[in-house]
Amino acid sequence: MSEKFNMDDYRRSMANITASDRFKERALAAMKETERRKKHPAVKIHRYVLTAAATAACVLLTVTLVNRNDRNIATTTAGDTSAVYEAAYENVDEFKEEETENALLTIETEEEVLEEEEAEEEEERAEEEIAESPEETVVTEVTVAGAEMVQTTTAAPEKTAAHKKTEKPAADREDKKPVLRDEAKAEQVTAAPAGEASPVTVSAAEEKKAAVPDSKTFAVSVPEETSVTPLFVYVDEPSSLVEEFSNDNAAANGGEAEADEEMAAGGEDALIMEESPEMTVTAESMVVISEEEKYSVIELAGLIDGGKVSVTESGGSGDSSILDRAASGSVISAILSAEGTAEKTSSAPAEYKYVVDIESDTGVYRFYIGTDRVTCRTADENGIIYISYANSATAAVCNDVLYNFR
Amino acid sequence: MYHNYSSGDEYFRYILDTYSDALIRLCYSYVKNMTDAEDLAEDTFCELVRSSPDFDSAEHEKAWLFRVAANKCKNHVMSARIRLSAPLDEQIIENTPDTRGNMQSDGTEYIRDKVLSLPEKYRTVLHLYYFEEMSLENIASVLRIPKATVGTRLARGRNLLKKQLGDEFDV
Repeated sequence: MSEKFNMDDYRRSMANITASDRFKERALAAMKETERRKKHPAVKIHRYVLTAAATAACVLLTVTLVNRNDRNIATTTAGDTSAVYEAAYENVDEFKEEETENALLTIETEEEVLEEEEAEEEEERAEEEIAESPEETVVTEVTVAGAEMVQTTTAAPEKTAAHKKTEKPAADREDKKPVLRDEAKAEQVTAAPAGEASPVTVSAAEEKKAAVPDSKTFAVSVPEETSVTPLFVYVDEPSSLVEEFSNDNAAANGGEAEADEEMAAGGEDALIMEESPEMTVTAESMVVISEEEKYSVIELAGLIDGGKVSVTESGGSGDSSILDRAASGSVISAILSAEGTAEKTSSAPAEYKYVVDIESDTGVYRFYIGTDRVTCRTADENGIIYISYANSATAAVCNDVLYNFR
Repeated sequence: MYHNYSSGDEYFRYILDTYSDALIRLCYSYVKNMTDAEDLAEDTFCELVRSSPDFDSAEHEKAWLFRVAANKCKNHVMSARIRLSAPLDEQIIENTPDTRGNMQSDGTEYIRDKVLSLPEKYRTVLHLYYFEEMSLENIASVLRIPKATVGTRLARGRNLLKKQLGDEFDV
């Protein structure tokens, strides 16, 4: 090969490749057959059916995705719609991961059965320890997405100093009397007089009984706090909520000393606490969502599809006012990790009478019900609580949450 | 000459007369096998009948057919049947009558074989540029790759060819 080659040689070589007459005849026949089949009615119908099926599948998929997004957004519903949407879309990947994990959680395997048995044993041991322990302990059993989680916390003593900021004249307080009906059947739960460290003890067994709405009642000591606090809405990513909560908790601990000092000095708050009535909560107790809407606890559960009422915890006021908490961003009463262990408890809203957990297929909805307000907190399957509200804002948001699941 | 799509022998014959050779050559540059190249070209024509697209111009018509043919060739090359197949013994091939018709067996076959031995992405661009004399824009449109990529592949293909042929190759 001494001669030089160039691309013209390639061109000449490829030019030799031509279509034979036999190929053209065969291709012509194939094209005619294709044309005949295309015009055949059965083929047309088949094509229409396929097109319709594909369109229906696309529509169904779109509707499903939209509904799922709405549901995710509904669990983070707040007054500020734009903030909620922003937060929801920022966390869309997290939602997907959480849903995947939850889907895995729902698959019952032999390992899970064993784990449940172990958890039950631990629960029994915990009950024994509670019975023996002199400390104030609240054992809360929360059922989340089919997995039982046991949450143990030390109840924070009721403080009074912080109520100064939100206190109103006695006349106002009388105007806003509790809408919850008192029941004389108070039993099962021991509540100390207000102003003292309240040893509230609810055993897991008792809580299971309390899940039957009209069978048990709870007596709790609550300050007659009727102050109207401004709207505060806290929406953030769970991780930052945890940080905020930790910071706030540290601040709250620092504030306890001041509160104690004020109590010792005999401030007005101490007086209020002494006058706090004992309240009894029943399934028929009325919950005021707004002026127009009032529901009993059991009705509240009925508003949520498949909702089961579980009065899991009762308690008194926290250690600072809602105003303080709004300023510091403490809005979480409990953060349950995805593994089902309780990472942090206490620091409940400043004033509430009892906690109603309403469990539905879409998650657990926790309502903190006080004398004149309902604080509504939505928790997803992992127990992460995103929002907290109070008073008029509470009404609007709770309505929003409830309507979304009617 | 450009005909809009219509069903009927006349249009089919126009398509076959105009594009049969080009499509078979393009398919041959992919599959390096005349029988498969003819089958793929036939499939491309049948796809034209099934889709009955509206073309704006002859260039559009040509680009559509080339793109469909290129996609079918890629699918064919990647198909399991091809990947699992084993080549025939060389002696059998030598004894088989040449299915490529009147192809010459002079030195031009040497450079054709060299071009066809290049990686697929280079030989396709070389074929469309040097044989079909398509512009870089048209090649980019057919292969659905950026124009700059077409230029890069063209240059690299030429360099590879130069490396293989050495002094025998004159760009």
